[in-house]
Amino acid sequence: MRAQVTLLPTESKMLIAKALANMHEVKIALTEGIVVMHPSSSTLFLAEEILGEVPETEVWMCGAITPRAACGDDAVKVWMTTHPEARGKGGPESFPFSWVIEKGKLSQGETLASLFTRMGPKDVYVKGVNAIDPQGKAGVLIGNEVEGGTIGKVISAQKQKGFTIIYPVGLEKLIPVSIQEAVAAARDRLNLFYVMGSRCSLLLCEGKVVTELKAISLLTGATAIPIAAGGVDGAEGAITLVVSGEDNQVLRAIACIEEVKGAKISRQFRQTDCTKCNDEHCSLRGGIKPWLKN
Amino acid sequence: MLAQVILTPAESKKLIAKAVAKLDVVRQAAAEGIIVLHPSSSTYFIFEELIGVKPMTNHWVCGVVTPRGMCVEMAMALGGHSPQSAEYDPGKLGGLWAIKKGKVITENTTSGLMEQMTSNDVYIKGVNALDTQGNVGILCGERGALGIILSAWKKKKFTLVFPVGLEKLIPVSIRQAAIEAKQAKYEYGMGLPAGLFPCPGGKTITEIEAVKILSGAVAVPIASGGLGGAEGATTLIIKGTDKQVRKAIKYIEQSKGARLPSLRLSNCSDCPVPHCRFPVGDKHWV
Repeated sequence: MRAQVTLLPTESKMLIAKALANMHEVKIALTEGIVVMHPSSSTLFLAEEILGEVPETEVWMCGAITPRAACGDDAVKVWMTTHPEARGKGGPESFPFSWVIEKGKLSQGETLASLFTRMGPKDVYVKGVNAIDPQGKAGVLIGNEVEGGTIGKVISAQKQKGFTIIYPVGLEKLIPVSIQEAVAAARDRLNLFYVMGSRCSLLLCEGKVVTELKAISLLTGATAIPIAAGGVDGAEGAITLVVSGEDNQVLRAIACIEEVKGAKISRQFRQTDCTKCNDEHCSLRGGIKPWLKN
Repeated sequence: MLAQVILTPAESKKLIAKAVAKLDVVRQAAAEGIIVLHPSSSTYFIFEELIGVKPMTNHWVCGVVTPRGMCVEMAMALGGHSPQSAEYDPGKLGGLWAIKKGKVITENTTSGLMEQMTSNDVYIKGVNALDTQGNVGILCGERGALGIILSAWKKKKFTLVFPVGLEKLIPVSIRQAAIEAKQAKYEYGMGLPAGLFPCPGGKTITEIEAVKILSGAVAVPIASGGLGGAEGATTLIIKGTDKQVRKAIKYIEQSKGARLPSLRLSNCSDCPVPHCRFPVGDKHWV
């Protein structure tokens, strides 16, 4: 049996979250350990999938690519400006906004440094990424002044502690060059003459990468092949797939896909008017560019 | 010199349009020959760059990937520019945008335009898929006119230009995707079922080529996607001499904030498109 389906980036995030929640490593971590998530649109869906409700923590996402610029959510910006140490050498490890699910309960507030002391092989760390290359390698944009940012610290800790890192990523984030080539191009961020928002480098992130294709396979056993991408009027970044397999596999895939169609991000991204923003690290502060008007 | 920029899909289309309008073959055809543009979100801004005004037709796009699924723009469907039956000759369809010696031709059919075209002319069409080798593919519903155009291109050898943003990148080859997309064999779809038609032999212009054409600078994609209207956005590092990078920034800033018109779609219950095999009107997401 064969089906042709189209998923918007947000719908893909929900589908991938459903697959993650069913992964063996995540199930073990939920029952015997902890699931730690970097707050983002990708992990918001996972938290909802696991908890059955929207996480109402003050911070639900950190940095994002927006039509204006590479920018941060207001709540994180407030923290960065009121905690100058957050930009310093120990900043990433003092990051207190990870979502931690332990014994069925969500919490936020424990620093990464503290989490690292108690994470082990049965635990899972989940982080959305900003790029996936044709070989399936993932990359994360680093806006933090400390090279590698929070994910760099997580990757270092993982090597010692042996927990699993999972990167959910929709094919919206596919780039045509290797992550290594993109990393090299973005390396010299301090010498950028011009930048839209935060100066970002890119970090290659090794680990388990879960795209829509992997998600459909994990959830149903069916095979999904991308045949087109993009769209208009709200379908920008969409992916069109042909799903094939046994009748029961494809019917299950259709059921999963129909369930996520129409998905919306349940929290609002709060982005300060650029003319009023006090982030001295943003190149667009003052908001004089025409596309920055709200 | 280095710059880091972000372009949403619509902004990329505007930037690419500026580059396409600067191609020698396009400039020459615009002034002395014929340019035919398939109405789409990709060619909308190219028409504007070439003529200086927005397209005057009631439609600005034909078949589209929308949040609900594959669909046809309402004015195309109601204006008789979409096949009315399985027996309909797609060569008789009108609706293409055409510019002859700098002037817009309003009365035309696909076959009529193809008959007039010569090796000095240009056909511009947006595509739906780009692979990492730079090959492109176009989604085709039943009874589409693409076959007529490609057949004319083989005989007349006019230039094909495929503007395409990196939003449309897929991780498999166009060849593999085309094999998978056998439209007749779908048992389920969202709207119009479509096959993928590989389109070799044209000039493919992405944001990377656009930056090169407009400024001489090199663009390297480092990330993709975004939120709050930046879905499908591309983040690029621009590098080159001071002059090249400054020039690239100028064109990129001119493209920032670009918007396309709103899309008008029929209700599935009274849609006139006869070959939509999988109407989605009763689905919860519509």
